[in-house]
Amino acid sequence: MLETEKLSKKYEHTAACTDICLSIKEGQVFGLLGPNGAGKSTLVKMIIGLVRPSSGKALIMGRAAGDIEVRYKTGYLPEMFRFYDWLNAWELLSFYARVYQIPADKEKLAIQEALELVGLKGREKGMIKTYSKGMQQRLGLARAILHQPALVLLDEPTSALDPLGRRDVRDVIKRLQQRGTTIFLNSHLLGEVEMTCSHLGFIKRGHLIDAGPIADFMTKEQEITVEVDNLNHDLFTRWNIEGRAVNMNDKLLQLKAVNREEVPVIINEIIGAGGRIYRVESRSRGLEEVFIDLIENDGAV
Amino acid sequence: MKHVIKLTLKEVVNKRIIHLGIILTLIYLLIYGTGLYYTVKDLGSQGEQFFLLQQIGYQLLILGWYVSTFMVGSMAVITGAGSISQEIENGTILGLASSPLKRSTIILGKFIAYGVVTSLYSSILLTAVMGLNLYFCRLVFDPWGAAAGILIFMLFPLTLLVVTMLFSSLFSTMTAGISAFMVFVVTIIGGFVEQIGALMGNTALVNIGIISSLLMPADAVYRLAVAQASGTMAQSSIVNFGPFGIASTPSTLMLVYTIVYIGVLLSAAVYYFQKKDL
Ligand SMILES: Nc1ncnc2c1ncn2[C@@H]1O[C@H](COP(=O)(O)OP(=O)(O)OP(=O)(O)O)[C@@H](O)[C@H]1O
Ligand SMILES: [Mg+2]
Repeated sequence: MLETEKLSKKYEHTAACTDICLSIKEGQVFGLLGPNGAGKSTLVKMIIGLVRPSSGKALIMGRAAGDIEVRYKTGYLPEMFRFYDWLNAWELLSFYARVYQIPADKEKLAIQEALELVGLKGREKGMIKTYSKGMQQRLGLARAILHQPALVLLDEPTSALDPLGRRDVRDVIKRLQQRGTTIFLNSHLLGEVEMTCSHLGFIKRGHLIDAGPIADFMTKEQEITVEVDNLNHDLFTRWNIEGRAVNMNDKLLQLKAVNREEVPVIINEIIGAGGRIYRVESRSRGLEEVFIDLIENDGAV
Repeated sequence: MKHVIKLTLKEVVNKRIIHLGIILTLIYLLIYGTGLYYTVKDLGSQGEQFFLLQQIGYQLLILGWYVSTFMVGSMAVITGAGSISQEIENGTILGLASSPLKRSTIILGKFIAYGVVTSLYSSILLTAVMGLNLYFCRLVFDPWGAAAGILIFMLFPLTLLVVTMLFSSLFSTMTAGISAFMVFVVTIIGGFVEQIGALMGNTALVNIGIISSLLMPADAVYRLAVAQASGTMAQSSIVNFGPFGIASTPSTLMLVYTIVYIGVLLSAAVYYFQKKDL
């Protein structure tokens, strides 16, 4: 459905995206997580064709990004946007219904359905200039899904919404997913992504650090705490070099980013080097910790 | 394309500055009409005075048209300045440019809509000025010449509009508006220089005027329109010799040049907008 090949964007002073290779299959809900300025919006803008890549390419349904035919099947909610405030919501959606060539006899129904989905029903005759930020974001979402696109790109769809609004957006995403829509979602809200996404990607300073099914991130990474005496210092240094987050406090050794299968290996190594183990604790880490870790200590960047 | 045109027309109708422009235009016409009324009243229009009134009326007509060019020019600059840059500054362009509308369609649609509005405005304004003269001074016109003049004059707002839209696709609204206005002023001064040069028989000054017309043909379009509209009257009139007049009439080739000019600048606006990261 969506493929990027070494997609890069360099601005005058910053490399916003560097060699991003992504592959998102039909029906997936892909959440891209990253801190502010990581390059999330730039990536989405390259995919929809608003920003020209410096190198590499993006393909949607096998066609180049920005291709007009692809646009008919793609919906996009920008991060920072506004609509013409001299229109009301209905007029705006009606304009876009025509632009997306929704047949005239289906226009009304499509607009009503979109308004209902985003919770703006009954407010459609209000001028956009009287809309709150959250209502504008809902309207943006309505515009993005109006033409029932096969791929929806959402750039921080909940940034202006209250908790109820966030739940509404989650519901919209679920409904779209049930229809078979592929969704690409930018966010820095983990809870959000955890509840809605089937796949995740992590981006930092323009580099895609990791991507895969959400389950991988939830179970793969463990953190172990070992109460140990007489720990061989070379081991400690080696872990550090390997890029693991290590922490030695009194007799408590903390090791992060450990695969489950690595746990017995590590314990054997400690004992082999003369360490005496009193206690071992291991626990899976929540998405938040994975996120913070990936973003803080990425050996690659 | 028609969606963009319709949307843009709707935008114009909703723009407050346009409402203000219409009110100012009405005030201008009122003042102009009042001036004509008192001129005729003081001068009288009987017998010998009729010939004099024709002369003065013609002069006032040229003056009226000249002032109109400022209003039409300002209108073109005001509508064009934000045409692209403001949508980028607002973030409204993200919706348009991510839809199936091509970027070229967006620019051309906007140009057509703004072009229709400004050239319609210019024709109405010129016709009104002419009508007031016809009514008060009983000026004798060749109606076809007048119509041709008004038609040619439509190119005046279009040249300014295309320059402003090109600036708007390159710079911020503020910069685009100010630079377009500066170009407008320079072309007017260039026109002045050319007329004065013709009056003094100074070819260097005339050439400066011609060069300025090549860079921005709006003033040449104005002179051509006046030459057309005044027809046979122009030859007999002494008032052609003056900064607003047509002592030096541009060649009709200038019309072809102006149309090519609009086409080239419009393509440039499309080109730069297509290259732009939004
Ligand atoms: N038009 C531009 N010109 C120059 N630099 C830009 C431009 N747009 C983005 N950048 C830079 O590119 C980097 C990535 O920006 P981007 O907006 O993609 O980040 P983001 O991940 O969406 O951040 P946020 O979470 O704040 O929305 C930033 O360093 C930013 O300063
Ligand atoms: Mg962003």
